[in-house]
Amino acid sequence: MRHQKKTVKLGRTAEHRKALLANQVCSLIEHQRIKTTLAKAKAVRPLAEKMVTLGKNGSLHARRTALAVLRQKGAVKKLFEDIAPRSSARNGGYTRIVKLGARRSDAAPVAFIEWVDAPLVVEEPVAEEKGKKRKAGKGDAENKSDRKSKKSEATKSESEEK
Amino acid sequence: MGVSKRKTSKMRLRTRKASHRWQPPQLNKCTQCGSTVASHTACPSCGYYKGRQVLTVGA
Ligand SMILES: [Zn+2]
Repeated sequence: MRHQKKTVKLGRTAEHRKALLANQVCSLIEHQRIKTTLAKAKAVRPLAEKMVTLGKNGSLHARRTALAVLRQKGAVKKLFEDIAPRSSARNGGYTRIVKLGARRSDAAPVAFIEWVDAPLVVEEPVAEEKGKKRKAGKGDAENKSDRKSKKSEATKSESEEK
Repeated sequence: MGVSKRKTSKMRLRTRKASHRWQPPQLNKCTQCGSTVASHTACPSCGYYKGRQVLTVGA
């Protein structure tokens, strides 16, 4: 039964949750695709789609309603000028969630949430950039491990001094 | 209160418990690279999902 299960609570107070979801929708508007836990992605989806519905309405009142929820002027502008118009042919279902399996650290299920109408041209460069990032990330990881080892050595020497 | 009339036999108990055995997850083969993937999940080894590159896979 669905009784008394109005929202996904995400273990947060109402104001914390509203702020979180607003931030996530703003990030989604800015970056076209965000990676979060599956539970958050599922909680973000209805809000994101309601915002697109407001964007398709396009009136000043709709704009103010969206601003009241999202609290970021730039995001609302982009929503109304880019994201809502390109979804004009679609009646709902503006977002897509792609599951990515469990996170290494805490085994939390992770997913992408992205706009269905995000241009494909954007996707490939993003993938390429990601490839670059990946290589950079590898380097970073090595650096980090180096730093860690240095740190551990440093802490060891400190402890020895003590 | 209901009181049991007979001691549960070893066989009856074990048959019941056998239904609680752990089952390995049902995995599928990736259509792109052929590695095992959990269903409804982007392939962790090649990054394809539903015939589309979803993510670039790192280490
Ligand atoms: Zn694959």
